[in-house]
Amino acid sequence: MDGGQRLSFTQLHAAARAVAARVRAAGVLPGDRVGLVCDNSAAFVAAYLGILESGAVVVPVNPSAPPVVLQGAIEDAAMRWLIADDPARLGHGALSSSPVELRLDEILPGSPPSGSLTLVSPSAGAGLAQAAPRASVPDDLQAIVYTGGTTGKPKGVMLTGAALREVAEAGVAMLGLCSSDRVGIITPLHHLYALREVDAALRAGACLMLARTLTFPASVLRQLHDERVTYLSGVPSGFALLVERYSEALSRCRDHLRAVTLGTAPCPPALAAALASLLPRTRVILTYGMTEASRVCYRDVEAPDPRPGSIGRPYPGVELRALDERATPLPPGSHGRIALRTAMAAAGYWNRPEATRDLQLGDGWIQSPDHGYIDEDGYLFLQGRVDDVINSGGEKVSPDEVEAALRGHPQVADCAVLRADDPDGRLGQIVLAVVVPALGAHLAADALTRFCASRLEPYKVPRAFRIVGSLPRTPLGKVDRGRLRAAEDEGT
Amino acid sequence: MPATDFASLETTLREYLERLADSRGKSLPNLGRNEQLVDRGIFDSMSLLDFVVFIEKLFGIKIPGEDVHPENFGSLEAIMRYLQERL
Repeated sequence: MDGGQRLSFTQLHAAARAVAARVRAAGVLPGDRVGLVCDNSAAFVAAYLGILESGAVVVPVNPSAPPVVLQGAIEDAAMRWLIADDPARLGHGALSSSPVELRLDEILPGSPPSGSLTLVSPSAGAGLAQAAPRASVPDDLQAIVYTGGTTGKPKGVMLTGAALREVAEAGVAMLGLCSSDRVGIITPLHHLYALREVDAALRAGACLMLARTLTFPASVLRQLHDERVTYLSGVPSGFALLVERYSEALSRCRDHLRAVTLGTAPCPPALAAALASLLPRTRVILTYGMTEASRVCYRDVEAPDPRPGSIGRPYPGVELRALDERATPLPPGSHGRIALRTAMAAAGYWNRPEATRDLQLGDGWIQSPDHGYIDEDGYLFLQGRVDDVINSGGEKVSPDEVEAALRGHPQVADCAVLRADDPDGRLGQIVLAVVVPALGAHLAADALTRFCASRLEPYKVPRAFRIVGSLPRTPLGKVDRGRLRAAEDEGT
Repeated sequence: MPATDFASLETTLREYLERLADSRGKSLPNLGRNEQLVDRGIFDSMSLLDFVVFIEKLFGIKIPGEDVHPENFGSLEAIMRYLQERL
């Protein structure tokens, strides 16, 4: 279901086959990376399934990203093709002049006559493809999903068909999804966090209800209620918005909503309690995962909380360890870096052998970016990230990437980007930029915001700026983010 | 609010929306009153909430969640009409 449009599995499958046929006819070959730049819609799902059916590799891209970010993804993934629901999103310079139009009313019953998907090849595609790696690419590669990491540029997480199947099955098993379920999608499908729920719903034969965005929550909640949605996943900041301003409408879903999951960012206990109170018969489930391993741990919210601060136990088949600095496993209760072994794990990072080596510890184990400990009963307690990555409303932001963008400003002499608490409390953390102007330059926050917004996705643009004379540095000359953060905490 | 004040309200709203557009990498020269702010990439769930909070503080009113729908907040024209009814 996408608004008033309703499709059976047979119709969706036929649409996917039609997309695959058009994609192949346009010259897409198995293994080619095909970017998918679409809002949440039935067309997104049909294109996603069609790309996979064609044997190509799907690369979802944030449709809100500025052209320069899309261009970065095109180059990094050596994309041969792009599919977009709005060609204006693709910019102009980088594309070939002969786009192929897939009319939606020909492939998806109930689509408006004006709707279409555009299939287009980046003009430099052929040259880029030669730069793609070979030996490091798994045979069964199906998707590359970009994620913010410690380094400046987003990394493409390689997911095989086998891993994606495991992810879907783990979701079906954890939720007990079946064909009578109705799965609501309210988060962007270009994230694995939402895409995996599509796979899980299709695997269970459940109905999918797609909401374009949560921009107008009242109409989304009305739709969830009218369609008797049984399962919903979201991010804490989204649920906080629903609880804060739409509690009555959310509460109306209490009779049919049998499970909600919250992930991608820590869930404040007060929010979990508020949800449990508004939805007393609904399983409220906290989840922990990462793009590199998808589903790692979960737990149902209980009152009283038997293990405050825990994010739960691993999904079946997931093994967890806390490691010391030499990567030696620690006994229960000891603090260390969390590592895991799972069939859901990524095959590594696209074209990043060094980052892949850092990720993979051998014998199937991968390391997470998180510190924590595992208690005697196998419950995981997280204690923060080992790196400086900022989690703003569930979106991961690399300070290096934002700093690199800021340094492109001709009047920025130096800068440092760090996390700060969201003063409004909604996003958890926000991106804060501390900027040193060039000699004689006068920098205003508005101008810096505008500059960053032309180079970064909206959630990466700093929400706060501090203009300073100099940055504190360590004896080795690196920016001392710890001192900056301490100064920020003290309000200096 | 006297009718004449709505000219300054429109200016205030335009200034806010232009700043918001800047922060999202969108240019808003001569924003049409009926242009759809979601389609233009200006409003998403968080930026619309920020805008609603801004309006609430500006006028000391509470905007119920049920009022936040495209007919009231989809365009500058819709917002002006809604505020004329509320103020």
